[in-house]
Amino acid sequence: MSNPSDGGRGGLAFDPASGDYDYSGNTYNEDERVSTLPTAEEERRMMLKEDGYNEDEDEGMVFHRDDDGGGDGKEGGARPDQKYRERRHDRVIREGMSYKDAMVAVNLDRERAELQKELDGASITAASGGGRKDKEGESVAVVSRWDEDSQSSGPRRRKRWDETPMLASSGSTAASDATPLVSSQKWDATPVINSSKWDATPLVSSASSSTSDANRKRSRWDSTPAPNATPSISSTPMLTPSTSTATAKPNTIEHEMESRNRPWTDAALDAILPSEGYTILPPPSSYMPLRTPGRKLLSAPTPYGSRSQAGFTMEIPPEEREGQTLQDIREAYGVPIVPTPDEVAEGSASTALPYIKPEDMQYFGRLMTEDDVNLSKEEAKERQIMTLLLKIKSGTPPQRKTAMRQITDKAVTFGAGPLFNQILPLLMSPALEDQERHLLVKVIDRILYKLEDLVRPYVHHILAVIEPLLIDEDYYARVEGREIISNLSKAAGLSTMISTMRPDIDNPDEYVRNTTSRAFAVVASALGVNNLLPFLKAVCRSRKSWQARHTGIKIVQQIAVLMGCAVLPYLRELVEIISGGLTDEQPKCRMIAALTVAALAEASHPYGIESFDSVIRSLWKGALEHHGKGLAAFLKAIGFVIPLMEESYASHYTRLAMPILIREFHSPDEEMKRIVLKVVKQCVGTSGVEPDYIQKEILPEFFRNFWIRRMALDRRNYKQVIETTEELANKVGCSEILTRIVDDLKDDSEPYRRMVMETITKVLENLGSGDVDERLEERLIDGILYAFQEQAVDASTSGAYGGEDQVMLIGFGTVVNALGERCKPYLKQIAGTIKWRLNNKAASVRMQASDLIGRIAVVMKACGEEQLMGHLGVVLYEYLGEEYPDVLGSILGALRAVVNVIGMTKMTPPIRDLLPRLTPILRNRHEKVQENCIDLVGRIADRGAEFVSAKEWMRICFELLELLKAHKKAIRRAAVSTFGYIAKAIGPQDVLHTLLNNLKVQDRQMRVCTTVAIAIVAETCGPFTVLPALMNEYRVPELNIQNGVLKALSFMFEYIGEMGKDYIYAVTPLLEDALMDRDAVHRQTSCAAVKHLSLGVARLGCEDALIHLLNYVWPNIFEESPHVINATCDAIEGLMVALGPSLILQYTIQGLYHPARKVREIYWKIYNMLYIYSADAMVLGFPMIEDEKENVYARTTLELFI
Amino acid sequence: MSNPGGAPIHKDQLKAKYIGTGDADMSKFEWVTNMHRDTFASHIGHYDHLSYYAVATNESVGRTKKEFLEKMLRPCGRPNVGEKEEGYDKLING
Repeated sequence: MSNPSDGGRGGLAFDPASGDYDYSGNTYNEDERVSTLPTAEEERRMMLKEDGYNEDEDEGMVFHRDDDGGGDGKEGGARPDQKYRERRHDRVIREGMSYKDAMVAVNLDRERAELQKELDGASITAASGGGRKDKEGESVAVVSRWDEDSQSSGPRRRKRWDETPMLASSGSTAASDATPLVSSQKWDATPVINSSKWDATPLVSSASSSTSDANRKRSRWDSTPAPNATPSISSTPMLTPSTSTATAKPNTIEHEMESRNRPWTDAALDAILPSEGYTILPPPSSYMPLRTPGRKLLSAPTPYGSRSQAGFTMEIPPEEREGQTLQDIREAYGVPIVPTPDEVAEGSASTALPYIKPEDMQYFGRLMTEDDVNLSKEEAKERQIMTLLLKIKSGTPPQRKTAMRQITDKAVTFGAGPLFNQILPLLMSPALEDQERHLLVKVIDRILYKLEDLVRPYVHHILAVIEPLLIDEDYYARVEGREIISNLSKAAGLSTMISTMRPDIDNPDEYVRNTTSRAFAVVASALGVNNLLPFLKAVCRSRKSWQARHTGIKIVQQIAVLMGCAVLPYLRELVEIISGGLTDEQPKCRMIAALTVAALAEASHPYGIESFDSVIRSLWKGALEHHGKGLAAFLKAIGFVIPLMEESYASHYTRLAMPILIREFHSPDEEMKRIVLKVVKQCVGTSGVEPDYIQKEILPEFFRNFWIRRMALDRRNYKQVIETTEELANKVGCSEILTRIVDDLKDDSEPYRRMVMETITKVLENLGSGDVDERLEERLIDGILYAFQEQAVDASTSGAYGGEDQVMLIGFGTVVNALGERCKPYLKQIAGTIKWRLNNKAASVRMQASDLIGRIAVVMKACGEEQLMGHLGVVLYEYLGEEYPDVLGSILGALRAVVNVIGMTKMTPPIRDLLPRLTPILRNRHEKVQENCIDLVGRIADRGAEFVSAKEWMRICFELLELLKAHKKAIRRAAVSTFGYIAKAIGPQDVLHTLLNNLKVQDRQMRVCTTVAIAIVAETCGPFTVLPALMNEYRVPELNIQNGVLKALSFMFEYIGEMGKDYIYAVTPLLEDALMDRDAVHRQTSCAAVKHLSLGVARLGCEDALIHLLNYVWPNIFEESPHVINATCDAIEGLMVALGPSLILQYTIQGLYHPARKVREIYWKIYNMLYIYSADAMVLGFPMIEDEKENVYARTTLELFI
Repeated sequence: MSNPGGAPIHKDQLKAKYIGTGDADMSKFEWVTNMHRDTFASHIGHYDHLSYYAVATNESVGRTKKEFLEKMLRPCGRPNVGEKEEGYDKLING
C-alpha cells in the first residue's frame, strides 16, 4: 500500500507507533483458549509461547507490522488478517431489541461462552463463530442476511451464463444448484424482444436510441459542430489568406448565425419549458411572417468548403433528430435534467437501466423481472430504491447524479428501513469495488443528513456493517468508515449511540470489541470527548467483566490515535480514567493501559507532562515487575513519556531505564528488540542525556547486539536500527559512529551492506563530514565504491523492493556531496567506475551509472574537473541511442546535469550538435524520457538558444505540440514554458502560428495547454506581438477556436496583470461580443477573462471600459449551469475590486426585492458576497429609505456636517 | 458565492459568520436594521469618523460611541406586527 499522507496529522497514521493501522497486527487475534481469568500457569504459558505474541490481540499495539503488509510469513498459507477481517460476516444484528434485551442477551452470551470454554477445557474447538452459534438458540436472534449471502455465493468467479445468479429473495440454500424458479422461463426461452436485456448492450428501451446515445456521449467542448468541420483551411486565416478563405468565410459565418439563431420549434420549446404555468399564445392578428422568396434563397444552406467529405451537411436540430427523447432534447439545449413529476411517478425503472454485473444479480436481479404491474406499494418503493441504487452504483455520471439527488430528496418518504435494508447488504458484498463503496458511502452520508433521528432504530444495523471498515487495510475505506460513523452519531445523538454500542463493549468476541472501541473513538471525536468522559470512566471501572475495562481503555487509546493533539484539553481526565488499568489484575488490561499511556503521550507531545504525573510511578513499577510482553508495553509507554519531561527528569529516568533496556538488548524476541530500539531512540533524543554517558554505557552493547547481519534481514528491524543509530549519531557525532561501521561496507552480506550504507547516508545528511578525518575519508570512499560495484544486479532492476534499489545510489551521491572538494583525488577513479558501468550489459546498471552522474555533477564542477565532465558529456552523448527508455531517461537527466553545471558555451559536444540529436527523442512516448528530454531542451532554449538555427527550433515546436498531450503535468508544464523560451529566441510569429493552428484539434486538454502556451508567449514577447493575430483568430466561426482564443486571453490577462491597462480598450469589443454569445462556454470563458482583466487594471483608471463590460457580464447572473454562474460571480468579484463595492451594490439593490423568488435569490447571493468582502465600504452606498409609521429608516448620522 | 473550495456555504453557516448577510426571504425591516447596525459599526470602527461626529454633535467621543452602541440595539424602532427580530431577541434574552 502506498502511503497517502493523512491530511492534518501528516504521516502519523502510518507511523508504526500510532496504532492507526494496527489492523494488520491486530488481526492476529485473541487466543480463544485464554479463559477470562487465566490461572497463573496459563498466563505464564501464554507469555512464553513462542507464537503467543502473534495470537494475542494486543500484539498489534505493541509491535507494529510494516506497511507493506507482507507479514513475516510465520503463518504461511492463509493470511490470518484476511481471516480476521472476514469475521465481519459473523456479526449478529440485533433487530428490534430493546436496550435491556440486548444487554441480557450479551450477558447470557458471555456467560455461555465462558461456560463453554470451561467445558471444552484445552480443546480448541471454539472457533470464531462461537458467539453466533449460541445465538441461534434464542428466538430473538436473527440470522443475518450476510451470512446467507456469503454462503450461497460461494463460487464467486462463476461465468454469467454457466450459472444463474440467485435472486436475493429466494433465500433457501438448496436453490443454488437449482435454476431459480422466479425467472426461469426467461433464461431458457428464446428471448422475446423486450426481455432480451441480457445480451443487449446497456439496456436501452427503444431500438433507435443507440443513435441518440452516441449523440449524447459527445460533449460540446470536444467536438466541433458539424457544419464547421469544413473550414478546410488548415492555417490561420490571417497568416495565409488563401482564396478559399475569402469565399468560404462569409458562408461559414452566415451558416453559424443561421444555425444558432434558427427559429424555435414547438418540440424544442415543449422540451425546454415546464409544461405547467405556460400557455401558448396565438400570434397577434397583425403579424405577417416574412415570405419574400429572395430572402429565402439567400438563407438557403449552400454547399461550401469543397473539401468536406459529405458534400454538404446541415446540422439537424436536436429536436428533429430521430428517436430523441425529451431528456435528450433537454440535454442538447443544456437544460438541467429534472424529471417532471409524472416521469418520476411512472417509475424511471423502465428506462435505461445500467448494466447489472453478474455479482450484483443477487441484489438487483429483481429489476429484470417484468411484473411491475401488480406490485404492492411497498414493493414498488423497494423497486424504486433498487433502481436508484443501481444507477448510483453502476450508472453513467449523469445517471448517478440524478439518482443521487432523487434518493436524497426522497429519503424521508422512502424511510430509513427500506433504504438501509438495501444499501447495507450492498456494502457488505465481497465483490464491491472501491469506487462503488465510495459512492454508497456518499449515499449513506446524504440520507443521514435527511433522516436525522429517524435513523435511530437502524443504528446498530448500520454500525455492524460500517465498523469493519474501520479496520480495513485500505486507508480510504477507513476514512470513509469514520465519516459515516461520525455523521451517524450526529444524526442519532449521543445517548442512542451509547445505548446501541454499550452491549458490544463486553462482547465475548474480540473482533466485536475491537471494532466497537474504534467506533466509539469516532463518536467521541464527532460529539466531543467531554461528553463521553463520564461513560468512559464508568466503563473503565467496571467490576463485572475485564472485557469491558479492556475495551474502555482501548477506546481512550483510539481517541488518542484519532484526535492527536486535540486530546490535550481532556488529557488529565483521560489519563486518570485509565490509570487504574495499569495495576489491573488482568494482564491484558495492564498492557492495553500501558499502550494507551504511550498513545496519549505521543498524541500530546511535546506538552502535557503534568497530566502524566499520576501514572509515572505505576509505569515505573510495572517496568520493574513485569517481564516479556508486559514489560515491552510498559517500556513503550516510558519511551513516549520521557520526551515530554524536563531535562533533568528525562536524564534521571533515562539513567534508571537504561539498565533494563540494556538487559533487554539480549532478548531473543524480535518484537522486544524493536521496542527497545525505539525506546533507546526516544531516551537518547532528550536533551538531558550526555554524549559521554552514551559513549560509555550504550554504544558498546548497542553495536554488539544490533549491528549484526541478522538484523538486516527483517525489514522492520532494519529500519529501527537505522533510526536509532541516526539518533545516537546526533548525540555522539558523526565520526564516532562511522568508524564503527564503515568497514562493514565491505561485508559479504548485501542486505547488511545496504543497512550500513543507509545509516551512513542519514548520518552524513544530518551532520555533514566536518569531523571525518583523512583516514576515515579514504575508508569511506573505498567502502562506497566497493558496495556500489558489488550490489546485486537484480536488486536494482526490480522495483519490488521499493526504494531499496536506490539505497546505494543515494548513499554514493550523499557521501560525495558531503565530502565536497575533498573528493577531488578520488574523482578519476569514480568516473572510471561510472564509465565502466555505462557499458554494462544490464540495463539497470547503466541506468544507475547515469543517475549517479546527475547526482555528483555539482561536486565535479566544484573540484574543477571540467575536462572530465566534458569527457563524460561526450560519452553520454554517444549513448543517446540507448534502447531501454528508463536508461535513456537517466542518460538525458545526466546530460542535463552536466549542461547545467558547465554552461552552454563550454559544453562538449557543442549545443548545435546536441540539440538536433534530441529532436527525434522528443517523439519518444515514455514518460521518463519525455520529462528529461523536455527539461534539457527547455534549458537549452532558455540559456543557449542562439547556438541553434531558427529552423531547428521550429521543428522542435512541432514536436512540442505532441507533448502537450502528456499525462504527466510536469511534462505539459515544461513544454508550455519551453514555447515561451523558443518564442523569445526566434520571435513569436512562427511559434504563434503553430499554436493557433493547434486550437483546432479535438482533444480538450491539448487545446487548454495550447491556450496556456499562447498566453505565455504573449507574456514573454509582449502582448502586442500576439494580440492582433489572436483576436483575428476569433473571427473563425468555430466554437473551439473562439473559446480557445477567449481562454488564451483569460490566461494572458492573468499573467500580464497591470500591463492589461494598455490592451483593455482593444479587447473590449471582442469580450462584448463573447459575453452576448448564445453559447454558454463563450460567456463563461469571457467572464473569466473579465475577472483577470479587471483585477489587473484595478486602480489604473480604466473604469469606463470596466463598467461597460460589467453591463454585459451582469445578465449572466441568471445562468443555471454551475460553471457559468461561478465564472460570472468571479467576474463580478473582480469588477468589485476594480470598480468599488458601492457601484456593484447599486446594481444589486435593483433586484433584492424583485417579485420573483429566483431573481431575489441570486441578487441576495451577490449582496452577501459584497457584504463579506467589504461590508464597511457598503455603508456609503446603501440607499436612503423612507420612514414607515413608527419605524425610522433614515440614517441621520450621515447627514451631519461641520 | 464562490469560496475557495468551490462548495456553496450553507445559509445558516453564512449567517452565523456574517450576521449582516441576507436571503430571499428577508423583510425590509430586517434589512434596514442590518444596514443601520453596519453603519454604526463602521462609525465606531473608524476613530476619525467617530471624532467627526463627536465634534458635529458637540459631545465627547466616548459619549458619542456609547450613544451609537445603544442605538445599534434597536436602530429602527419596533418590528412590524407579526415580524420577529431575531437579533433583538438574542440581545434581550442574553
